[in-house]
Amino acid sequence: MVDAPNFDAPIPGMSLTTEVGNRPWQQPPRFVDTKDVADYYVEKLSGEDFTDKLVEVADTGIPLTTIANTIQMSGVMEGIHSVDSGILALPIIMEMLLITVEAAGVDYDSGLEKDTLKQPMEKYSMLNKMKQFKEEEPVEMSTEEPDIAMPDDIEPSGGLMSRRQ
Amino acid sequence: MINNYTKDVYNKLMKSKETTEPEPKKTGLLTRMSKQDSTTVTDLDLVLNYVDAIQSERGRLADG
Repeated sequence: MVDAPNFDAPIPGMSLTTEVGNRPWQQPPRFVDTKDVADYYVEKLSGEDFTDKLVEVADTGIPLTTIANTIQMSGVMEGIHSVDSGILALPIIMEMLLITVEAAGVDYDSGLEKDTLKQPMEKYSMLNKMKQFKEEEPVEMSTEEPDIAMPDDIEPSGGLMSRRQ
Repeated sequence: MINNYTKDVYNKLMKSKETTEPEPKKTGLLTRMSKQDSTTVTDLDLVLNYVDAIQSERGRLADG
């Protein structure tokens, strides 16, 4: 079976559009030891601002494996660690994500059980959410105009640009 | 093109944890073979230690 074309690949020669060494990932990484990388992620992923955002994202149904991969890839791109260290840190990142979403009590998709990317995200699709609203009882809106008595003697406002009387 | 190895790496690490054989019983005394038998802590061991620590915390949170 022929795979679908991947249009996410970089354009040939894209890496040559800047001097070698200008990009953060072309510089020596900030952390070399696996312990330092692990400590960096444990500290980063336990921050309150991160956990709030993670819970929101996990609630939409995005697999945690995808989030973990994005986090480690951004670490490589920022020049924090090498690709190897990032791959080694993946299980630690996954565990940190799992502990966060479990503590928050969110219905999440870990992405570890099955190939979730190939499965339609029926549960979380926008169409499905809209169906839920359709199935609910429609709220009856009253078409009658409200009986509000308007006062007869309204004084015109006397602003600077108002007409003289 | 696969560019997300999280699932594979995680599952492989968990599998390696399950199949770890217990260390053979030793006398606790230093012998001529002690240096040869000693094992160095690898990066993978370090990752396993971190994962164990976080998992135990996870279990504690789930219980309490």
